[in-house]
Amino acid sequence: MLRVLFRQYLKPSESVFMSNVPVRNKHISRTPVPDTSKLIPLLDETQLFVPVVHRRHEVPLRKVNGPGRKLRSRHYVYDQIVPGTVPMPDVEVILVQDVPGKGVKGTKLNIPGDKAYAEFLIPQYAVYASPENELKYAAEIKEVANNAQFSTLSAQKTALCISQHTAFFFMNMKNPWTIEKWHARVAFRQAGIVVPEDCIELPKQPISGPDPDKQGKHFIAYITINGKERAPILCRINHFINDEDQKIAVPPRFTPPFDPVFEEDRAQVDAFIHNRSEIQRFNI
Amino acid sequence: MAHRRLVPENKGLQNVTKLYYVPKPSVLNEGRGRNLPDAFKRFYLELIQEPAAVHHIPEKRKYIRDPATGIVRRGQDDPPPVIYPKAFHKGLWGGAGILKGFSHNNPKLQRFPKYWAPQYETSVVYSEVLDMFITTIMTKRTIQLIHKHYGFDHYLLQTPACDLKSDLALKIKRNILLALDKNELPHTNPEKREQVYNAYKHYLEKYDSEFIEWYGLKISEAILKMEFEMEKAAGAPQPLKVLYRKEFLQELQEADIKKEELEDQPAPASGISSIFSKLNPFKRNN
Repeated sequence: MLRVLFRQYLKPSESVFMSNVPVRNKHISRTPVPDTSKLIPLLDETQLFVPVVHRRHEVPLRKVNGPGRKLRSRHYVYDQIVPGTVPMPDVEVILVQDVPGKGVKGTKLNIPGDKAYAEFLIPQYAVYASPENELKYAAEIKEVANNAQFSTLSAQKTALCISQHTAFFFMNMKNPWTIEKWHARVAFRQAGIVVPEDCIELPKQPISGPDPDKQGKHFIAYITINGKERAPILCRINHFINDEDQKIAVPPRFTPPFDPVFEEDRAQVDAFIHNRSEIQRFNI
Repeated sequence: MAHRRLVPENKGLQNVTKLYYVPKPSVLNEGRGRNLPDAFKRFYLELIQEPAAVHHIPEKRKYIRDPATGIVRRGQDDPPPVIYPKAFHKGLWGGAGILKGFSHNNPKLQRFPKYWAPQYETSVVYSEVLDMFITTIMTKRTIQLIHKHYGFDHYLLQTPACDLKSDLALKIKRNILLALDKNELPHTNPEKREQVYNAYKHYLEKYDSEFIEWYGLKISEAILKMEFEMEKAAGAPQPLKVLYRKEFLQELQEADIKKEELEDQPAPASGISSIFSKLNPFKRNN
């Protein structure tokens, strides 16, 4: 009966809603969806990543200190308060050891909470900057400037990156040669490292050829970064000729045997090969 | 008013009503649980306290004035009921659980049932006291709470049981407290062990050693522990055959003594009495 009356007196646009939707409690179902974005600033920091809800229909008041009222099904209609995609709040940490690319011992860092937990606190590279820890590591915090062993933050990381490479020196098979700095510059460029010649440091004894004994043998050169860090790099001699019949196949890097050109360098080359997996792993 | 002071604890009607007070039946009042020690009851009361607000914004105001109408009404906090599934007790969710209810985003449509759950991630916690890395399922809230208390051990020791709630968290807390109470830290380096003990020993002021012994147990575990200790105090049960053998030996010894006494006695003088004594059928044969 009421529906018929509404249809007669209301505008057609409004009456469509009234007539077509079969709902039982209209006064409840037609309450507008509240704007929960106003409630976001009331959230605690620890509530940002758990579902937080707000009741659409309030529970009636109970007696003072009395038992709770029996809830009806409408009291379980919730609106979620979504704070959007927010990063985890920052945490202040103190580094306990040198971390390449991040800082030296005693450096204070402000990092997002989840990153600090997974990458600094659990591997025990850092501790919380709590008042007790600040007292404990006061000496290290003071001497951060003196502890700096590298020129820039990224220099040590670059040095590690460089020592993961192997430079192939392609030398002529017929014409005589002695390895010079410009040879090294070209070899490093082929390995993906562009360096000026004054940064390169070759072995003191000259290496000359062509010599079939030196085919596939290794020596160690150094690249100096910012005049401070000395990055070692493994170099391998490979004879080259532009004739398909005499060409020697190029093996992939880090393939045995690892024979040195100079017998004094054997221990150093072996250590280099042995530690290469550690070099690759220590990459934050 | 002087006469009133003579009566101890005069609280008016409260004393009268207490006469008829019968406590509600619960696990600690009835059945096997009624003999549990007070230390465990203290822990249990800590566990069933109302937890901190996680899934709603708590209403802390006592009275609220409506800005439009100016009417004042009482403020009331109604937390939504939270479900704690089995998986909750195997991980560290930081007090977050699962919500069950309805979403009604479109007023033209009906409301739909919905579950709200936090996002989980497999992660690692490090306990400094136990010197142990533990891989569990956690939420981001747990990591935030660990940051808030400057470490996992401090988080467990500063948070009451009602907020930890999960079995795993309570078990780890129990182990930490036991290790601190007995001063048996598993560190191999003695310097480091002393350093860690000194950093955490101030928590022992809050927990006494009897409380620690019963802390973090489930009710079933506590009952088993209590019964085991009672059995231990009573000693091992003695089989009845030992008791019967003892009685029998005693009887034999008594019989021997009586025989000896009879033999020592002098024989009766008259012959007639001895003949009658043999004929007497009611005489006892010793």
